[in-house]
Order: sequence, then C-alpha cells, then structure tokens
Amino acid sequence: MTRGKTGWIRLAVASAATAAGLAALLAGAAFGLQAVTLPRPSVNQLLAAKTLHWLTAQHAIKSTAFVRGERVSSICVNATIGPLHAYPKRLHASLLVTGDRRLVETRFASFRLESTVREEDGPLPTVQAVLAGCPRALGRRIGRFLDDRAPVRAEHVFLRGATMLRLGFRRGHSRLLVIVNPRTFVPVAVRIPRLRTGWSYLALAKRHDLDGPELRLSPQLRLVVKEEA
Amino acid sequence: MTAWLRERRAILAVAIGSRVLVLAAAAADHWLHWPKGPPPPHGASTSHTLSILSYWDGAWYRTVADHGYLLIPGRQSDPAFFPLFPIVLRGLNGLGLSFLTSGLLVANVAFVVGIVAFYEVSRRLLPLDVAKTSALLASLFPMSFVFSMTYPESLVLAALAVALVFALDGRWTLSAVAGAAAALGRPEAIFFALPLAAIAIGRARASGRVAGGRAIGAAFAPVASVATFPLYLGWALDNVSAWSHAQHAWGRAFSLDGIVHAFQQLHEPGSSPWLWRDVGFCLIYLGLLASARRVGISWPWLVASAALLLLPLTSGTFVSDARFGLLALPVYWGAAALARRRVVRLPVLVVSAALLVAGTMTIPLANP
Repeated sequence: MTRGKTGWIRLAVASAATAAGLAALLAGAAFGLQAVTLPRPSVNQLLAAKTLHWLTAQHAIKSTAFVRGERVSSICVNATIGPLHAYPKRLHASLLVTGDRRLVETRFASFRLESTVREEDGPLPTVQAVLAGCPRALGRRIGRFLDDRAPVRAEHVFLRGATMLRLGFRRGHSRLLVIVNPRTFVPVAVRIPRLRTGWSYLALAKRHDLDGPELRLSPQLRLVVKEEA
Repeated sequence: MTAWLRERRAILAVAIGSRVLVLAAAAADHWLHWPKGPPPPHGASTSHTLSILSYWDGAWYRTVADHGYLLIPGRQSDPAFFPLFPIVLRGLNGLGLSFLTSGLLVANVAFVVGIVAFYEVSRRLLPLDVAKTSALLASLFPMSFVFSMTYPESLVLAALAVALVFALDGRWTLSAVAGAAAALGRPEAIFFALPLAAIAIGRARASGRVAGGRAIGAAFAPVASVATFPLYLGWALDNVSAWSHAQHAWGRAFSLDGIVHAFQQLHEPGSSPWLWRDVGFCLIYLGLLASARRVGISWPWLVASAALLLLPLTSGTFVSDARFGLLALPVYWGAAALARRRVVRLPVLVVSAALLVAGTMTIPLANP
C-alpha cells in the first residue's frame, strides 16, 4: 500500500507530536522530581545571596564607625598582593586605609603596610576588614555562613528615615548582622555582635574618594600591592 | 535465567571483583594514613574506613542531598552539580542510611548494573568476544575507581547503557525514561542523543518505515531532561543561570579559545602535575576512539564520544577529562579491539587492575 503526500504529512505531524509529547512528559517528570525531593533555600538565604552578589561586583567601599565616641572613616579597595616570601602566588586582597594606617587583608594572611610589608598575626585585621565593608572580606564572611547553610534571620528596621532589612547570620559562636536596602540588597551597615562593636555604616566609594593621598603607595610597595579599583 | 547468568558470569565476577579491589585499596589508604593529601573539603568525613571515596565532589553532592541548592556568588557552590545523584542519596537517607553508605551503595551497585547493561549494548553491536572483552576492560579501567566514589558517574553509566539497550531493542518509551534519568545525572549524557537518533533512523530504515514519534522522543529525552535543571534552579533560586554562574566560579567558563587556554594552563607556574594525568587519558581516549572505528563503530557514536572528551576543554582546562571520558562507551570497544588476542588481553587486564588500585590510592592527592 502506498502512502500519498497527505499521508506522509499526517504521519510526520503525528510522529513530531508524539516525540514532543514524550519529551515534554519526561521533562515535566524530571522537573517535578527535583521540585518535590530537593529542599529549597529559605527566602532569607536568597536575600543574603543577593547581597553577596552585589558585593562581588564592587571594587571600593567607604565606611564610617564610631569608636569611643569618635568618628572613624575608612576606605577599602580590592587589591592583589604578592609575590611574597611565604606566598609565591599573587593573592586577591583588600587594601584597607583608616587614617594613615594601611592594612592588606587576604584569605590566608594579613599585612601591615608601612615602609615595607609586615605580616600581622591574629584575627583582628580580618574583623577590621569585615567591619569596613571590604567587598572581599565581607563577602567571604557572608559566603561562609551560606556555605554552612547557616539560618538567616531577616527583620525590618528603620534607618536614616527609611525601612531597611536587617539580616542576622549565626553559626555556633560566630555572628554577623548586616543591614541592607530591601529593594537593592545593597549593604548599608554591618556589625559583629560578639565583639560588642557598634555599627559601621557603608557607602559606595566615589572616584574622588579614591584619589586621596593615603591610597598612593610608594614605588617599593607598588611592586607587591596593586589596587584594582 | 541460568543460561543468561552463565553467559555473564565472568563479566559479573570481574565487575564485582574490581569493586572489591577499589574498596580494599580505599580501606588500605585509610588504615595506612598514606598518602596524605590536602584536607578534604567541608562536609567530607574522614573517620570512616571508606571515607576517601566520598572526598572532593562527593562532599558537594552530599550538601545538595542534605540542604538542596544555593548559588553563593563569588564562591564555588553546588548548582554546578546535577541533581539525580543527590536525589537518590536523599531518598536512601530518608530510609535511614547515612549519606556515605547510601552513596557507596548506589555507586557500586549501579556500576555492576551498568557493566552488565554495557555488555548488552556491546553484544548487539559487536562480535561476542569484543563485547565481552570491552566489559572486562571497562570494569578494570584504571580511572574506573571513580565509579565507586560517591559521584554520579556509575548511576549515569547504568542509565545510559540501559537507555541504549532499550533503544537497540526498539523499546523506545523505556529508552526515553532511562536516557532522561542519565541526563539528570550528568549533562554529558545529552551527547548520546546522537547515537540514540542514529539507532532510531537505522531501525526505521531496516523496516522500510519512517522513525516513529516515540523513537524520536527517546533521542530528545536526554536534551529535554538536561533543560529542566536550569529551569528548576530558576524556580528554586530565582536564577535560571545559576548553573553557568556556578560553573564559572569553578573555573569552567566555556569559550571558543578555551582549548588554547587548556594547553597554556599546562605550562603555567604552579599548575598541578595531576593535569598531565588528564592530558594522558584524553590522548588515550582519542586513540581508542580511532581503534573503535576500525571495528566498525559508526560515526554518531564516535562524534558523541569525541564531543564528550573535547567540549570540556573549551572551558580552558584539562581538569577531570580523565573522569569525563569514562562515559565515552566506544573507548572500551576500541580497547577491546586492540586487546582481542588472549596474549594481549591478559597482560592488559592485569596492568589495568594494578593501575586501578594505584589510582584509588591517589584519591586524597587529587580530584579525579
């Protein structure tokens, strides 16, 4: 029996419909399987991830804190450091400038910049970098909480005449509070409650903030520290 | 049933025996505390005798099984890992098994099923002796220790081989289901849409009819299944690009000049010497594909396998290519074609088994 042109078209359409139907059915089942079996992150964890996403796109942030009633301003820019004796590869870093003090913080170690580069011991430099809103240091701290799937609390707070969102991270003894703009997820203040420090208020650094003399490094230091902003 | 088992007795024995070798080597590694590698990533247990089999990506699959996905910008995170294996782990964990036990059980049982199914595919395409040898070689292949790790490779091998057996038998709906499952385990499974389509067309030509809708659907099933993962991530994480963002954070950004970067990376100061293992296996796989052509393996199979091997290089690195190639099934046919004579086959199997043990022992040193 021979098949006419219409017959072939009908057969092709029927085959295509069956193929599409089968593929769609299986795709639906595959999607359903994932949706039913795998847990979803909490809404607050997703908010925190959005804040982190914003931080990863920043190169420089300025901050203001009140220490013993005195206003202390800092500026932090992304940088790289190396090669150094103990660290032969260049490391992603944050260059934190507070007054005339300059600190370079990395995931592995921190360094004080004076006439030379001197390694700093202890966790304090990292804490300072987090409180100064250094995009890398603060991002790393939030990222660690999210890595561990630490629960994130979110509360509405009133700050500078606007409603903001306070994200609270807690894992064991480690805690972090970040106030973010609820529409843009931009962090505006940060605090580490365990240290009994006050809030540090953050803002995006502008071009003229980066032109200050404190950010100009000596030719010798420029061989190991390079700003990325 | 007895006749069925008798024919496959040697294959089953070698498949199970190879897993005993891998588990014994992993246990020896644990007891001897040798070799000592970097500390395993977060979440990986070090206390269990078989802990090393859950290192590296195994810890990430466990995290997904336990907590689900979360894209963490600027950091390596879990949306880079496909969902089938964590779904199975989660299911078994719900029945009371630990994640480690579930992972090892699934990986090793699926491997044995996968080898038998692979033999079934092989005997439908090749002479019986080549089919048998290819199954034996696949069992003892030096990199096949990965099939015993808490990785999805063995589950994908089993699903893929089952999909191909069903396709060769003309049971298209079952083939589509198995193909979709394979693609939910690892994205490489979509390359096998090509041989599936070729099988559908070949069967249709042989019967003098056009390929039916279910046959075409079976070829498209892996593609449809892969597409659901970004859609799921879009639903769960509000980010349909989460998979590609996560891949980027893992250093896998696909680009046209990626292969050039992959070669450049080999000469970068501080690059891991283990990269050369991946390069070596990549070359071996390509050689074995050429050998598979000589025993009459058709182009769709070879193109799918070559894509599986070469496409990851466009991400700028050879890292893990030795592992990715494990799913290029024609590689084992090419090896069997070379080791067809008994005088060659036996030494090859013995050397493979020795390298398999050595490979297992090196798990703590480098991510396969």
